[in-house]
Formats: sequence, C-alpha cells, structure tokens
Amino acid sequence: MRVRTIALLVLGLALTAPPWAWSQGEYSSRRTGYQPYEASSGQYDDTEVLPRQRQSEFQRLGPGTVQGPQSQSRARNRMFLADSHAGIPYYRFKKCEDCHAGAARNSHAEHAGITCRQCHGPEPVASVNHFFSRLNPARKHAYVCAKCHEGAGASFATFVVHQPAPLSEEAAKEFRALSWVSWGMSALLLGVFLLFVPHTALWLLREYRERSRKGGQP
Amino acid sequence: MNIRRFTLTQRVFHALMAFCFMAQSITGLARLYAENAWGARLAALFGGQEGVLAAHKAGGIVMVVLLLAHVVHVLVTSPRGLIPGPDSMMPRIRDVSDFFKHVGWMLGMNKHPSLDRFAYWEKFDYWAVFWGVAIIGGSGLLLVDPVASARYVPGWWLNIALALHHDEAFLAMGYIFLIHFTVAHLRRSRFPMDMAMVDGCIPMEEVRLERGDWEARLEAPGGAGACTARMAPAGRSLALIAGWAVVLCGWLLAFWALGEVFRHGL
Repeated sequence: MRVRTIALLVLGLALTAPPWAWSQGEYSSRRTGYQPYEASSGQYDDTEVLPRQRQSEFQRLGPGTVQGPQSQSRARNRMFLADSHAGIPYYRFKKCEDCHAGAARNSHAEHAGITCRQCHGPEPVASVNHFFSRLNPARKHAYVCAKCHEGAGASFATFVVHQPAPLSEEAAKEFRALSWVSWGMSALLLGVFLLFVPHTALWLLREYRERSRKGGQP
Repeated sequence: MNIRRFTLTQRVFHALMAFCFMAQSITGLARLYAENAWGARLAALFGGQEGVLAAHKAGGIVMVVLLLAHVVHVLVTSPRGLIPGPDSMMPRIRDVSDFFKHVGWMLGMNKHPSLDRFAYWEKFDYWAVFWGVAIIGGSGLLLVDPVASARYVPGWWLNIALALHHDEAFLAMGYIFLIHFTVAHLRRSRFPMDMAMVDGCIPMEEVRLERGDWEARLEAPGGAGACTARMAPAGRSLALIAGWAVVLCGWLLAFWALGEVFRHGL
C-alpha cells in the first residue's frame, strides 16, 4: 500500500513538475526555450528580438510590396528568413524597386538619396526579423539608424521609414494613428477653405459692387 | 478723426509674426520641395539645405517664443480680455449671428450688420494662430532634435509629427496667403492695405460704417480716446511697401506650391 502511494506520488510529481531541461537551456520565453530547429522552422524565440511592446507594431515590408498569400506559414514568411529573397526566380536580374515599388518612395531615399543597401545591407539580405539582421529591432538603432543619426536609441528606430501614404487604405490598416491624424487634418483643411474661400470671394465682390454704386460705403 | 485700435506692442508682435511666418514659409517650402529646381534655388539663398534647416528651426523657435511672449503680455497687461466681452477676443454667441448677417449682407439679403470692435473673422484669425502654433510648433519642437525627442516619446510619433507639421503648414499658408491677404489688402474699402496694423488707428468713418456697436460704445463716456499720433507719411509708405513685399512673396510661394500640389498631390 505504502509502496503504491509512494509510486503514485513520484509519478504525479514527475508529470506535473517542469522538465529538468527547462532550467538548463537558454530560456527567457514563456513559450519555448531556445531550440536548435528554429533556423529551419522560422519559429524564433522571443529572446531574438526585443520584447513585443518595444517593437514598432507596423509591418516593415513597406507599402506596395508584392507579397504571396497571407496564409503563408511563419516558416515561409519572408519576414523571418536569413536570406529573405531565397528562391525568388531570376533574383540576380531584379532590382529592389521591381518588387518593393512603394518602399523605394520614402523620405530617406527621396530627400537624402539613401539607397536600399545602405540600410538593408549586402546580399544575402536578411529579413528584418531574422536574428542576424542588422534591421532586427534588437540592434537596428545601433547598426543602421546611428550611422547617420548619432545617439539613436531603440525608440528612435521605431520611426517608420517605409511609411504608407497617410490617407491610404494601407495606412488605415497598418498605421492607424497616422491615418486618423491625417484624415483629421485634411477635414480641418477642407472645412476651413470650404468656408472661407467662398466667404472671401463673396465679400470681395460685394464691396466692389457696393462701392461702385454708392461711392464709398462698404 | 481716427480711433485707437491696436497698441504699439500688438503691432510689433504682428510685424514680427509676419516676418517669421514668411521666413518659415520660404525655408519650409525649400525643404519640402528640395528636389525641384525652385526648391533648390530657394535653398541656395540660405547656403544649401543645411542652412535652410538651421534657419527653419531657429525661426520656428522664435515664433513659439513670440506666441508665449504674447500670452504673458496679455496676462500681465489686460487679463480682463480673457473674459468674453465687447473688447475681448474671446468668442461670443453673437459672433455666430454676426457671421450669418454678414454673409446675408454679402448676398444682398440684409443690411450690413452692426459689428463690435473685433469681428468674427478677426477672432478666427487671432485664435487660428494659437492652434496653428500649438500644432505646427509642437510637432516642430519634436523634430528639432528627433534623436533626443525619441528618448521621451516613441519614435513613430515623429511620423505623426511630420504629417501634422506638413498639413498644418499648408493650412496656415493657404489661409494667410489666400484669405488673410485678400481681406487685409484687396477689399475695396481697404485696398491697398488696411493700415490699422501699421499705425494702430482706424478712421472713424470705417467704424461708423462697419462697427456700429463699437461706435455706440465710443460715444459713451469713458470710451477709447482718439488716435492722434498717426504715422508720418514716409513711414506709412514704407509700411505699405513692406506689406506688399510680404503679400507678393506669399502669392509667389502660393502659386508655386499650388502648382506642386496639383502636380504631385499634397
């Protein structure tokens, strides 16, 4: 009887206690530890990037990028590959803007003449979420932003370089704050001019006619 | 006879604001359209884009300081102006009815309304500076040193600050260049320039025709005194030239910028 009780207790403890390996592996995630199959599966642990709340919540592919179906698994998702362009046919003969048309139109490129390579690095271009990528949020500020913006921190690096057009549907989905602000300002702009342009034009006309008739009265 | 309308301090504030506004418009458009030929030409006036940026930041800070100085000046010299009344810039319910009556007069439906000292469009002009500077100055101050700002606010706020700065700039320039300049310079009763902001005086004739309610209060004992110290003719001519230089400069910028907006969108 006592033997059975002890055996049951041991079994219960063995089943409920965490596996011993959890305390040994490199572990910082609530989900899984650092696992060797990550590189092939694309399932990267939280240790590889900044905590979620520190990351910019906006997609980093840039507007107008040609993408496969959204149902792709994370393993095939190009946001998480060591070579983000692996397997793209005739890749050698393509230019960045052939696929990333919208991404090429950004203030860094247009105002400062910065090329894609200056931030995204040489071939193979790692996906921004890959743990070796210079654009990984863990090190983007130090490896990319600070090259020009001396002293840039992780918060500064959440500036959205490939910002969608503020009034676009894309912005409404990906950068809601910008969309709201821009629509609000546009409404204000439209309201002010719709009110005051006719107001001023009418006034001008009225004073012109009034003075012509009465000679001196507004 | 002339009636005192603005004090010397108010007129100096207006002149400084006008100067800063033009400087900010020129440098701002030179940066926005840096890739275009005329953007580059404007930038060349300041020794290239670095010079433009430095001037734009300095001008912006001066403008914010000017507005703050004005607020302090009002609080110190005329705190009673904060209470809505006939001599206050505070909006009143009668401004709404004044607006409709004034529009009715424009359409020939009724007589010219008997306005008070500050009419609704003047109050709009005045308060527009406050929300304008709040929006454009607030976003601008974030952008003076974006790296430092990002230590206190999330970096993506800078995207929003840029958008706000851009949109408010177009609103402000559009309003000043097209509406304010027209009202102050092109109306037949004011052409070539409303001199009230130059010598601080308004002719009694204009008060009688446009601002009957103010006139009624002036005749009452204790009303504002007559404006005796009008500016010398040479000073007035100089002010007229300066005013028209600003107006023409503004229209030129508006013409160019509107062309760009029609070509490439806002």
